[in-house]
Amino acid sequence: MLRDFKVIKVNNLNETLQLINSINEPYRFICGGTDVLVKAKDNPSYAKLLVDISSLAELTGIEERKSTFVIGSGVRHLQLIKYPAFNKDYSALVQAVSNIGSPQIRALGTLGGNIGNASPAGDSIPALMVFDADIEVRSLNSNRTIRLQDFFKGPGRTVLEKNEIITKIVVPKFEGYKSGWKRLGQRSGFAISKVSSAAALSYSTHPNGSLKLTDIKIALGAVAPTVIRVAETEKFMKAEQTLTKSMLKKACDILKSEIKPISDVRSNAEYRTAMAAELFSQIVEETVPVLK
Amino acid sequence: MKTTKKTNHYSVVGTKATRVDAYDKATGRAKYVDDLAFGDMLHAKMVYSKIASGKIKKIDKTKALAMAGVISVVTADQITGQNKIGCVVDDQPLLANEVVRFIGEPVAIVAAATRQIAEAAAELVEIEYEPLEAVLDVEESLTEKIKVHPKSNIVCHYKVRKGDPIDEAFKKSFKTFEKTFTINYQEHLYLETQGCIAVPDSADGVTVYGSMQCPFYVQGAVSVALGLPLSKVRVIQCVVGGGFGGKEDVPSEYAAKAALMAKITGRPVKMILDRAEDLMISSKRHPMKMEYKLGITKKGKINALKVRVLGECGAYITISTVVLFRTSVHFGGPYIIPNVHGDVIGLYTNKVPCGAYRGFGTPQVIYAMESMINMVCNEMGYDPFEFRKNNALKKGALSITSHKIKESCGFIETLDKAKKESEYDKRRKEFEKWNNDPANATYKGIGVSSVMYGMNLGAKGWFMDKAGAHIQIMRDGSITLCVGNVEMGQGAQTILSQIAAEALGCEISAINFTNVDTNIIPDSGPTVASRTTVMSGNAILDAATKLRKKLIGAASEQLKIKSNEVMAKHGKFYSLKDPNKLISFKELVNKCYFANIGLSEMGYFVSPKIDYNMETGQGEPYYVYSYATDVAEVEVDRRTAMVKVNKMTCAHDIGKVINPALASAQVEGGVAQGLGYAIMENMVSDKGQIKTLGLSTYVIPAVTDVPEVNTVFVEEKSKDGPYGAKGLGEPSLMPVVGAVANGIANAVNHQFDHVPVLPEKIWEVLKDKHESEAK
Amino acid sequence: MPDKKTAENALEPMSKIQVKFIVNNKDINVTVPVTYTLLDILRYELKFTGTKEGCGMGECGACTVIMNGELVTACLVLASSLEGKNVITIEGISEMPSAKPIIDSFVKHASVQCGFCTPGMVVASYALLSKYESPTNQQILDGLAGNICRCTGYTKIVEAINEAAVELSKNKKAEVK
Repeated sequence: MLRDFKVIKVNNLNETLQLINSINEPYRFICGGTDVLVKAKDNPSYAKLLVDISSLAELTGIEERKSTFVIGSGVRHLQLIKYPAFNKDYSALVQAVSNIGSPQIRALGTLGGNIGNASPAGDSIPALMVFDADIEVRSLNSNRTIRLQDFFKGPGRTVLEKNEIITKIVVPKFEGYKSGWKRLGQRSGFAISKVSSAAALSYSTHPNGSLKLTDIKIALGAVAPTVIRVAETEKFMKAEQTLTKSMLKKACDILKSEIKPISDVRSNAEYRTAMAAELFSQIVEETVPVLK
Repeated sequence: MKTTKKTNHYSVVGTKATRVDAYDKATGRAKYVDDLAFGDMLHAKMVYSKIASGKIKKIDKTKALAMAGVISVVTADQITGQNKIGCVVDDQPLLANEVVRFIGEPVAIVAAATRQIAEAAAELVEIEYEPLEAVLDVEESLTEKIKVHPKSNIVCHYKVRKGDPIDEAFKKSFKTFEKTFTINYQEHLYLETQGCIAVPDSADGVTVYGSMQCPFYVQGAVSVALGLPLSKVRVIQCVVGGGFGGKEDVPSEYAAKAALMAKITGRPVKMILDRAEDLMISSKRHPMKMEYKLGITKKGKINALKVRVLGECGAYITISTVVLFRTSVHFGGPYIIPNVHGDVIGLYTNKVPCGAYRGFGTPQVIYAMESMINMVCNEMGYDPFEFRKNNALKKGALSITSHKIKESCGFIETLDKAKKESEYDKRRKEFEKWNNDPANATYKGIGVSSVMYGMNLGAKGWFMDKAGAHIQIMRDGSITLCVGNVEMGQGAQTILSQIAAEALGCEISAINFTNVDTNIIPDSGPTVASRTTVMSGNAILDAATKLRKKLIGAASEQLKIKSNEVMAKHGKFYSLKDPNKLISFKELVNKCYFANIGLSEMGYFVSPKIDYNMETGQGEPYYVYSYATDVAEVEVDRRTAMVKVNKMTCAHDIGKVINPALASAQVEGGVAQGLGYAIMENMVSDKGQIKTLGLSTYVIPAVTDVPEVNTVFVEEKSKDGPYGAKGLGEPSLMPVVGAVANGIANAVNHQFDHVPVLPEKIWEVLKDKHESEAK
Repeated sequence: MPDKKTAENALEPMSKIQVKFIVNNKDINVTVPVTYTLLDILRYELKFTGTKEGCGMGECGACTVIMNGELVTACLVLASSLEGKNVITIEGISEMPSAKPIIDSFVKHASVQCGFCTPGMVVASYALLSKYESPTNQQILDGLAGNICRCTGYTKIVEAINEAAVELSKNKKAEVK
């Protein structure tokens, strides 16, 4: 494992913004190291310069505001999992982050890193996506907010400019939504996801007993070059409204037609396609038990 | 965990003695090779071929040599001895010189001041190739259109011809069954990667430290590569972090390279492979294509078996000929089959060389044979235990190689015990009910698999099948024990200390087991073939018997009693008639010291000689066999096809169980490794390039993947084993794949013809099943 | 010693870095290549060879140590992020009286075979039992999820932890008395 990189250690956000504004060579941020260092060890040309942002206090902390939760991009997975409000209402997010790697990885890895790494199989991303998360990004002279859905360009690529850094992940507050996240790996424990699925939905029970869907958001991982929302499936379900087993089945068929996963060392396209729908179906069944 | 015999007549052997090496390992004090350092030591890294087949046109070392901290860059032309490294056959160079034959073949070695510099410099060595066409598949290799070596692609061809011509035998069968199976590579994935340190001493000698199973192979390889007499090559084994066969053949390659660099630079040289390197170049389990045809009589007896196995050997033979010999002995399992026609063919391909791995060519064919039996039982409605019993090898019966089993055959008892302990009949019925209920989220299945496994190196390896031991009792009563076989985690140190303590009448705590040192012990062959308990154990008994005689003589004098009245146990020598008449081991030894009675002895043991005809594959390939029957309970998710192995019942006949705790630990470890092979470990390669070069792609079982394991032992003693012992190292893994595959078959009603049985494949079957059910 | 991180040169790419941190209650001050991880520093600078390298990618857990109270894989902790951190390795843990029941239990239960994963397992067990006095089976499985073993099949490791938990609990009660 040839390691061939230099490091710049930055101490505060301002220093960082100044640095990346004037830097001439390619660089990558390193915080937890659970993706960047692994890649740097695997492939010496991956990073010649690392900017170590692990000391940036401005990127830590989870703040509750009036209508959002604001998560610092440097928050470690372990801290996020322990946050009480998330355990109450954001099941999908806690489930997702609890399944990233091993306990050791979760103590080091950060949410900003999981997003910035932009893996199509990145576990936190589908969960954040169904909560309509936004990414706050800063450069020396600007501040922008980008929808998570619009953040990814391809495997490992984001819309971040060279002089920008992810500072916050903003998750809106929801009322009355239930959510879930599932994935399949090559074994039961710590594994990279073959396919993952997240959904957040809200529904009401009609006086006649039928279930009316009011909103649904679905995101899938490892079935496309980036994590994606499946717009057609969402549209179909919101139009149909009445939640039944057969409506769910039709929704799954549409979901399968919206995706085109690849075959690789971990799995094949047919299985991934079928399982994306399967996992989604199971999430709905678990959040709407009557449908089981 | 139970054994059949309730009483253990021994004081140390047969007890759950505490592992003697556990404390050092648990506190981090145990020293593995990378924990050692020597003054002015250099670090070596190999430069690997990036193509699967090609001619080397040019090697340019200038940039590498120009790097600060680089001391030497060595290629084949600088080898001081012979450029060869073959284990069995001379087909493999130490460093590629004219051609490369697989991606990862070492072409050069860099020695530098630090590991990082060596790695960086290795990237700067420029090699120009003329690529040649590569052969990447056994069927293709068989056509000989592209040759890996100048001569044939056929590495070996073992035949078994027993009874009548096979087509005639099948004509007499009531029913025949046919299937072709394939099984993928398995990677050892020992937690400690390969590594060694070579330290030059005196003018031209060298000492090699390393993680290895076969110090004597290493000694031989270094002697050849450096052109040194064996007496000037000393090999000292370090604590080994797992082997499983993976440190049988290849450590010789790395040691010879490190020793070469040590000789050339005049400094100690350490070579440690990182995980990706280890996954890319170290030897693997042979993938196989296995064609089976089996015939039964009306009464449920197997009357004919025809098997053709194509074993993929990779670019070099290493130990393949011995591996595939075992395949040819074991492909029919522990059954009486009067007519057998077997062909086991090894083939070269331009891929990573395959070598030794726990089970050594047999888990593959056991999976196939036991799957065939499962098919027969399902189709004919036979009980899987009754069918196996009906065909089981027992004393007086002939194996597929016409070996008349004379002793130590507890196979039928393993069948009975496994059936009883697993509650097979009850569970099978429960699972049937469970599977028929559409409300359940899973399918459950129960599967059986049996094995027989020849102990020691057998007829083919008899010339190596010897072992030495050295016991030295110090004047203060402490003892050094040194043997030629290696502790690699399997518990050898403890088992052998128990055997020594039993024989000497001392406490285990008095014994200091030293790692293998070729200066102390004569060639004892490799630590493989589950032979350590028998070989080193018997060598210890040889030495200990001589020592015990002296001690008893001295004790009889000290206690003034007859020799045949002296008992020795737990550090005390005492009178049988009056136990209060005693002398402590320590005191007795001290007295011997002052009486100039030498208490240092060498022991030696040679494996029983056996008779086998290589042409016909008939005779005695091994002197005795261990037997086992495993039962696996599996659960398959109906929707995702993910498999969970919930429970394993393992019944093992290993003769006398020297340490029941360590033995059941071996079985549990074997279960984990076997289930990984069966359902999740999947080495993927593309055009000869291995893609699964890390633990995130080559996935092995984690703590949540392992089942409950219930182990039962059957002690059919072997007359040639120490206290009647046979071996367990490999049989602990061997039946698992077959049992799990049969469990899955029972759960989803489909006999899979490929291992690993991945969810993707199971799902295809379930999908069709659900679709047809929906209609 | 002049502070290397002055305003002018603070933002220059470094090839070497000085790190001050704590290992097993001892103050450490080393200057190492920036490519070094905590694992490299432990093994090659400080000669604490108890922590092992099994994969270098954070996937096997053989390099598990405790850093600022949490279990981490030392092979992924870059030197530049170590400043001021408090690290405990197997060498430190094996000296602690509270770890003795864990180590004794591993030894007693035949939970050790080749031993290469064992330091990491002991560290993970220590962290687990520091957190939970009587861990459930699921808590034990979750606690060991990042530690791979190829030899033992894990069963006896889990048995050892269960017994150690009982032992530690007994000791605690005895102390209280």
